[in-house]
Amino acid sequence: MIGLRGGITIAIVLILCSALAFIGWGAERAAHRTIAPEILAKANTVARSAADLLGRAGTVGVPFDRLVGVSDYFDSLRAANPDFAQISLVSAAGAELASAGDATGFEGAPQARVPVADPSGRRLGDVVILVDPTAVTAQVGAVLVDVAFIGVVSLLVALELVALVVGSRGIGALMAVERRLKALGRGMLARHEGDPGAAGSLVGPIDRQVDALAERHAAIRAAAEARGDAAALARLADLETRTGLGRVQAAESEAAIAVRPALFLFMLAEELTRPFLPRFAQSIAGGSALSPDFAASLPIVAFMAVVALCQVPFAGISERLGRRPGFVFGALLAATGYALSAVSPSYGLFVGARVATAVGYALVFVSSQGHVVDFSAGAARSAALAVFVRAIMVASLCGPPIGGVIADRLGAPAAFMASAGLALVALVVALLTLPKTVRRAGAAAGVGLADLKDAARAPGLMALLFGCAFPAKFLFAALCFLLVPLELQRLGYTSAAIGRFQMIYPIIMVLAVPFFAAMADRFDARGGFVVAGALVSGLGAMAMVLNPSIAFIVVALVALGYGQALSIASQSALVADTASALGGGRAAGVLGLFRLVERSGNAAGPASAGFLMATIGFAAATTLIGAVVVAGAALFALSGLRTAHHPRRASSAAASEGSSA
Amino acid sequence: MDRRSLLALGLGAGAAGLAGRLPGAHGQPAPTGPAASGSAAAPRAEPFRVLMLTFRGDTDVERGFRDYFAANEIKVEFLTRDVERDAGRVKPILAEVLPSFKPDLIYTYGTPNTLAVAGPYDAPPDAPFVRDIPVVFALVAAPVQVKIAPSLASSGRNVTGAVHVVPTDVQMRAMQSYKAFHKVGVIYSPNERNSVAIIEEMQAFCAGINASVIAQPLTMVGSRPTGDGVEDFVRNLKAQGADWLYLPADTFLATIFDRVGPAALAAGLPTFGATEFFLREGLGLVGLVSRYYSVGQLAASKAVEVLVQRVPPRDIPIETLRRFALIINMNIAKQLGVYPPIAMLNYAEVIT
Repeated sequence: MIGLRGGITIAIVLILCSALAFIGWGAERAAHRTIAPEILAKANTVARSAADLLGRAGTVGVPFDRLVGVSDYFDSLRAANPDFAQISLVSAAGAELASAGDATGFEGAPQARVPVADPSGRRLGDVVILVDPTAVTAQVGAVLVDVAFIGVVSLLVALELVALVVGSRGIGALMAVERRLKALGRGMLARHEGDPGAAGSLVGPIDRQVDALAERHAAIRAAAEARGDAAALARLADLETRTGLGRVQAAESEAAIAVRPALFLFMLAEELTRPFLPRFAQSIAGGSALSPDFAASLPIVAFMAVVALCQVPFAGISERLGRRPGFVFGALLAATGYALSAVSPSYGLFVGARVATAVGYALVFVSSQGHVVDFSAGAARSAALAVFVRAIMVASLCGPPIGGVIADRLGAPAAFMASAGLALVALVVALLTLPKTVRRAGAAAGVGLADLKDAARAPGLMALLFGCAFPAKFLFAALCFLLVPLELQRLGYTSAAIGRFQMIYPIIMVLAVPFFAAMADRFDARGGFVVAGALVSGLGAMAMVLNPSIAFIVVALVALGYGQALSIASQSALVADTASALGGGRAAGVLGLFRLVERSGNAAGPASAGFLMATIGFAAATTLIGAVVVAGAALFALSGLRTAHHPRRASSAAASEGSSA
Repeated sequence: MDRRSLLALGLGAGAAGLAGRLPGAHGQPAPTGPAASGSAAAPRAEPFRVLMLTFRGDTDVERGFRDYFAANEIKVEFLTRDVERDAGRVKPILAEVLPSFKPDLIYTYGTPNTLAVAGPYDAPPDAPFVRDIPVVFALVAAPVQVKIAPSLASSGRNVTGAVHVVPTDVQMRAMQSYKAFHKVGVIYSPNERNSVAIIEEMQAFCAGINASVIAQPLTMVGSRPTGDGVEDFVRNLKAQGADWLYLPADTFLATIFDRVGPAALAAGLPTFGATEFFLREGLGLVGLVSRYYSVGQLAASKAVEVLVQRVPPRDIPIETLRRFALIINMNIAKQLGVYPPIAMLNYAEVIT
């Protein structure tokens, strides 16, 4: 039987697909109605101009049967007008004197026919242009591909929203049951707050029993008070303390994932910029002394470096500010940065605007993560973090193609303005959905430098971080954010097409991470999965040396997706093992160090790639970075990670992985 | 080859569009109007005085030169003297005119006139040449080779001007577009350094397209070339399989065009010329040339810089045009039966 969520999903897919099909069909018909006559009119103009030229040849004394280079001339006309299937010159008697192109298969296609006359006006022959009807289809097809991608992406966004509504209701129901059962298991009889949603029929009887107990407790206490029975009152008070009878327990997890829609919108804003950012940076740097590759990489590097560096200090700041003000302030800063990027007259100001965006981005990210951590605990926290990460992944899937289409159709500044708008919408959503500042007394202090230093001494951790975690992010950021967009741009691809290529990695991640995480658990070979993943992604990039073509770019992106999917969950599990083996406060230090190293890789990747691309070219740069990853994996494999005491399941670690930031 | 790629070679009828003002896109100095003159120098009520020394009477060069001033509304009083193809007459003309006319600038047509007025740059300081009046020349093919200037960037003295030669490789490509070739014949004066240099450039270009150059020097009597046997040279080149006969901007060769052209036509050998004169008077088939009118305008733009903006001639580089005219003599094409590719008619000037 199809559940509520399945039903809504299917309904949305059906509605969206039929709407898209209708729009596509309408667009195709409209295009045929408008473009086809345009092409025929153009064919008439070109034919007239060719006939004039041939007539001029006659006027200056070139005999009609001695014309030279007519086929070459027609070839050049066809090269300038790919929608002409054939251009030919036929004599008055109907013999073909010269032609360019092939009319096979175009019998009955629309044609333009203009006579060639000699100076006295006598018709010598005709110039005939046969229009290629498939050219119209091809032009319309290009538009429809854009529409289709927007459709797929809107579908994903819609499903994300469905997941938000249905998913949180579903999770809410399960959590409601879980909370009550756990409380009863512990002998706690407090009343639970919050709408149990779909679980109402399950938890209703429990709640009614608890309420009845509480009422009886209150009634007995009232009676004891009336009697003045101090002993009974003391026993009743003790009972209340032990069981929480008569108290109200607040629900937590729904609050934890409340940040998801705001975060999704905010992340979408940044992801929009991926496909066109390098090109835009180059164009705005045009005329300066910077090399084009450096100009493309600097804004990305600055962004990633600021995000990496702000991560640790911002944890404390967002805690002091409160999560909601932190999110709002960060989103405002980022929106300002996007708007400035759109209108920035100089390259320096543009980089500055990107840095402002990065500061805002880091603050939003840290505040959102802090919010989830604040409002969840235990298994609920993993689940909430998984939801959080999924929102980011879907944003990284949807953002690039949408951003690319906006940049292609309306220009990069418009796309930046769209990002600014999205960031502001995220701000408003955050104001509506996040609770007012809750200052949590005694909340865990942020991770300090001393914790990081301490964590660095954990056995085997450095080999894992610098052999695998760092190179993995290094390759990912270098390839996806800089090398591939720049190379595709050089090959003449539009921003929309580049955005589609940038979808390859997150799609594979979304689909393959849970699968490989489960495999790693089943074979109990997390170290092996980490090494295998690094080898797959590294070798995929190194394959570029064979033939730097579009096919090998796809190979590198697919290998990157599968490689990271193979290793990422196992890698997190290994880090978590190390952390829990150390125990206590040092665990936070290990995790903090892990994130810091990963994010440094994000910054170092585009920086090195920009430099390498300028000096040794795309193929060699990609190959070299791939080789770094392979070498890191070899280093890690040789060092051999010490077995941790409490092996954590990779599949549970998978929940918190996959973010691109 | 289509129009666009030909334009990319610097070909095309762009020069024909130079009516009066020279657009900056041509790489020449921007035109200077009265407004500019007001800012660069004090407004001048009296017209400038320009002495023009022509070589063979008024040509399109002089018309282009004068029209440029008119189009830019610069008042100039011209005094024109013709040396009737004898540069020896320059000295007496100067002796007569300079004291009374007092020119602000002297215009010279061609190498002999220019050398007679300004002398070579390494002439002794006491040699009787004009050193205190700016000299602007037009139609000098190789100012460096004939020592008018040590380099095109600067004459180092009171001289600047306009060169009319089209780069050799651009000419070879135009020839190739008209009719592809494997062998190209060329006749030249071995004593003219400029011609020898052009033949080396032709050989370099032809090596790149797997073609060869058959170079035929004119007969020398002592140190001077003669036209002896030039008809036989033409026939021999045809017999050796030449697809084209190329005629460089060679001073002596220009005096026997009336023998070379008919001989080539009789032998059925298409000719490609480097000068407009050969196309118009010498029975040449086709040529890529600097329009004389445009060369005159280019020279005038330099004269304006000197007069109005007060730029010393040494600071004004000697330049050639960047756009050229393709001229086809259709009467010759008909006689040879070698018609131009249809696309060329889009931009060629056709003589009928």
